[in-house]
Amino acid sequence: MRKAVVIDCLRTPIAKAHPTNGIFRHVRSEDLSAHVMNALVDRTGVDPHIIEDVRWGCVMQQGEQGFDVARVAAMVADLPIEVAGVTINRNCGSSLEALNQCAMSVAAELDDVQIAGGVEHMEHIPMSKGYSVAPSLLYKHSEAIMQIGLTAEYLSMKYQVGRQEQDEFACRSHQLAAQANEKGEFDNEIVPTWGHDDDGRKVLMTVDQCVRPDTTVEGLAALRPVFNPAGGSVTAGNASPLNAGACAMLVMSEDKSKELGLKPMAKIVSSAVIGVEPCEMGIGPVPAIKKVLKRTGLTLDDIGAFELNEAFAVQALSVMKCLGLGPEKVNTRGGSVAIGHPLGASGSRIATTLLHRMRDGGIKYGLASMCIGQGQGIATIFELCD
Amino acid sequence: MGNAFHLEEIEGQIAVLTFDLPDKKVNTFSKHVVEELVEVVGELEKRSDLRGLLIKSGKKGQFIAGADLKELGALAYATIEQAQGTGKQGHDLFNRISALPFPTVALIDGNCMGGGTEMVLSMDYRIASDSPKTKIALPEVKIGLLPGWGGTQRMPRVIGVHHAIDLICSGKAVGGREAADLGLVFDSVPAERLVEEGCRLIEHAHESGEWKPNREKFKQPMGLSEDQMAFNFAIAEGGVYASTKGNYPAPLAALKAIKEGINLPLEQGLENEQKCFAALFSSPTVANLIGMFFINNQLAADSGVEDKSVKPMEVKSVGTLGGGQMGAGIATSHARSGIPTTLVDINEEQVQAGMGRAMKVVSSRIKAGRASHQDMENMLCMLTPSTSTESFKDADVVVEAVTENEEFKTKIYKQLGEVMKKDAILASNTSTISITRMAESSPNPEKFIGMHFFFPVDRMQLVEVIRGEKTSDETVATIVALSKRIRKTPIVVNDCAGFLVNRVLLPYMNEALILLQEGASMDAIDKACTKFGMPVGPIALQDMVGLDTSCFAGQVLQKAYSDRTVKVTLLEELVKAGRLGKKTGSGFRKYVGPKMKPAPDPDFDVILEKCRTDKREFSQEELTDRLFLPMLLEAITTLEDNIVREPSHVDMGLILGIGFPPFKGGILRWCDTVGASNIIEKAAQYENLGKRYAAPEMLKSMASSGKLFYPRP
Repeated sequence: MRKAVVIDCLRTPIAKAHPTNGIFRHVRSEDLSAHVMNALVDRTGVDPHIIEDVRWGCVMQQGEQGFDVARVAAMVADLPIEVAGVTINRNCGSSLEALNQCAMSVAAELDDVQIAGGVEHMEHIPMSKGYSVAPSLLYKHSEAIMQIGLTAEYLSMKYQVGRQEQDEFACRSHQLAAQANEKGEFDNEIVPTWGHDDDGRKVLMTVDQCVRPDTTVEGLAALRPVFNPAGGSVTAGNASPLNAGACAMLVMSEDKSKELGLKPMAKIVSSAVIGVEPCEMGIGPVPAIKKVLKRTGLTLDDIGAFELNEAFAVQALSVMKCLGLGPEKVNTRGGSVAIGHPLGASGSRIATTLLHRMRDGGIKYGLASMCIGQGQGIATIFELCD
Repeated sequence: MGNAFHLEEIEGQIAVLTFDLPDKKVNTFSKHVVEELVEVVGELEKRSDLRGLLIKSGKKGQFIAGADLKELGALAYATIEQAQGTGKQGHDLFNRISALPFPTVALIDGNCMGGGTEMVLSMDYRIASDSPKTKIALPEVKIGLLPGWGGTQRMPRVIGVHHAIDLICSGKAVGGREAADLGLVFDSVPAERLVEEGCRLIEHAHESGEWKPNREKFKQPMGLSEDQMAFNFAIAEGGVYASTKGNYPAPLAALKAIKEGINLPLEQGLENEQKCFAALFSSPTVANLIGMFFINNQLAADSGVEDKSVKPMEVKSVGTLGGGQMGAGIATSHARSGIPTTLVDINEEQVQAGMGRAMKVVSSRIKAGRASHQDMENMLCMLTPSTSTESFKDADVVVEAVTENEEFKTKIYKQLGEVMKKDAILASNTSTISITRMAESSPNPEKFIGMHFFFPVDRMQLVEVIRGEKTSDETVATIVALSKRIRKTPIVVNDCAGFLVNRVLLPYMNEALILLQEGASMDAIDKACTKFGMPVGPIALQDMVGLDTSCFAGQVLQKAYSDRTVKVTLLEELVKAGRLGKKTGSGFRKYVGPKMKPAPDPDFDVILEKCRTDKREFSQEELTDRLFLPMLLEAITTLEDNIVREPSHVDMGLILGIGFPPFKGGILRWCDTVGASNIIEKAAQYENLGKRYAAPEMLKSMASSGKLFYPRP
């Protein structure tokens, strides 16, 4: 069986989704996507003619993200016309799914050289724009399963994760992201991208917009619960924000990388997806991680670095509690509460951060996992290439 | 056997059962009707020859309206044991319908309410007509009940938990197409095709054979997981608490019946539903809300005058004078109801401002999803702006809503007399000035009347129709009919200072100020009232209404009821200091931030200090007594003085006019609940504070005779 490797991966800085001060307020999803595709081709020096397919995660596939945004963006990037493109939707897990599908294609001896990645512009195309729930879905389920904030409150209740713990974790996320920034740990993964600053000047952006180095637990404690004002615990401060951004990863078979003389960052060892109750969608990583570990014969202890997408602080904490996983190896450069969660781009974003962490720290095994709205979990294990 | 049901057989051995209550406009389930249906079902159970049954109504556009109103009235005061019995009767009948030896289809055209909905839920299939008259609902919670004939168990099994909770806990109705989308009915079709489609469905049931296994499956627990149960009901309970503040037991009881029943076999779920239904009768809320329901019905039928031969005049067009908040609101209400309306103000600028306000009423309704752009167009087609009172020459009714100044108003009436038709009615929207007195300056005192709207006009349902000494019956009946036409609830009141609502409101508002001066905190005062069930406390209300308006009204009433109204200096001091309430950014509290949120204001304390009479602590009970007793006693004097005709009019006036808690059924019904002697005893504790705590004669005689405002059946 052919094994897939990731040669390189990079991303735009993650913008706040805001009509007046979001740095990408004047930049479209297709252009963000094309920008990271081009940057990836330039940096790796891969001949674009050997790229067979672009697998691109995107959740709200309408407006500027409509039709097949993967194909549209590949054309914007002026990739050769033969490079195909497919847009993939597994909600928040979309671009991790895109990466896994690239690996499957390699294993199946179908397409070899591919770009995986994703995009989401949550200001231009809001999260639930135009959506209505089928009455037939709600036979046993409450419509509230679509309001993931309420499902996060449910985790807080079920797994007994209090407000204080959540705020502390959110604060940690901001502090770690700020430190990583300071130390230049994102320099290799973020590519400068044109955007607009607060004064409306067009400048090359290099820093994630939502990270607040001055975040304190006390400041977070003052915020009001958003989804359940009477007695809730999830606030704007301990949930991931709304964002815009794109991320791209170059994938191919190990053999191909040798043939081309490209040094891979890591091998994709295995992956898994699984469904969970939608009312506790945030717990998805728990069974997904157990499943992928079982597939590979590895244990939690074998994994040296974890990237758990922080949809909500309470969600990441519930997952860690259920797995018995301490914070030491988790999201050590901050998580999505601070960096942001541009839905369709988030899977490849956490995989990208994970691979850079593994390379920088010489960590053998790394695991990326995320929860998925309406109740799923996804997990992927990587092995560092030396 | 009675004659509410007719059974016939059509082609293909399909029976059609038609429900058609003789000499009634609508079909309802009385005890007799239910007994008759039991007999019919008994006959049908033996008919192994039939291929299917269709049930329809013989009334066009009316399927089944629910319970019989007389029996509902009696149920209001049922004991827990009696209530439990009524549930069992329905359950037994509908269980038998659900087990008939052939497929059954309900053909729903028109209103299908309460017990009617519960009956169709016990059948194999339902088809609804696509007529706009078709409305399917379980509205029981609106009158303090829960669907006790299987609705809480069968509705979730038919359409699923989420939408069942939504329909049952809100009581809202769905039309035919929406019912089909929800899976409540198989399809929505033109009314004339109902029988044909019903027959087709019976054939399908036989061909697929699905109806038998479906029945078995229906009797099983729904099988929600532990997480689904915990999550769904935590969300639903949160929603119900947020909308009822825990004051209405019925939606929570309905939710409990659903929660406890859906994961049980149907039979056990139904048994539990009976218990939940009966438990509601331990609180007076059921009787209060059923009482309200009857008052509503009675007011809808009330012509406003005793003489039943009096007919309202036809109103083809209406004029409104004044384009301010009230005038524009009144004009919009008429125009929105399809009545050609002219809006007149003094100059182009004022008229345009008025038109702007009119459009804002509709546009904010569009924003809230309560109106369409077509409604805006229709409203504008009906509303003509003008700067000349000449435009009133064809109006049948002119409503005057100019500045609250008697001299100014009466001067205008003289001008209007020159342009208005001889038989046209002039109505004043005054809130404080005597109608009898102003009538003398009007073109024709018989055709002069008060028509007191509340702010904001489009959302406040109440209209006080104020009858002056010379106002004719025909004028009263015309304004009552017109108010109903614009979808308001009119209450006819004889002229007196403050009319009904403000007269009864004043003692309460004034007492809040007296309490402040005695040392009670404004938060404690407001909280005592919201705890009682008022939508906002009196201090917060002062700031909303505007202190200048309140102060002016207070002076008028103080003069009229000087024997029992204490003069309070605080309000005048605040007005003098330019603190007019929310509109000026400060009043009793200050209003801060972009959302104008209320906050305590140290500057207020300085003014209060000057007016302070005492500095003591109050218990919540004392605050409640102090505030609501004067209000109640004044309400009783309006009856003594013949200001209103019925206790129910006082109650509805206060519920609609000031938001008196509907779950208490109104202030006089609250008096009945507490008991006249208890009220007298409570009031006696405060007698030394003044005449406002003296029990009126009417209350004393009620205490000794045991009479009630609302005699029990």
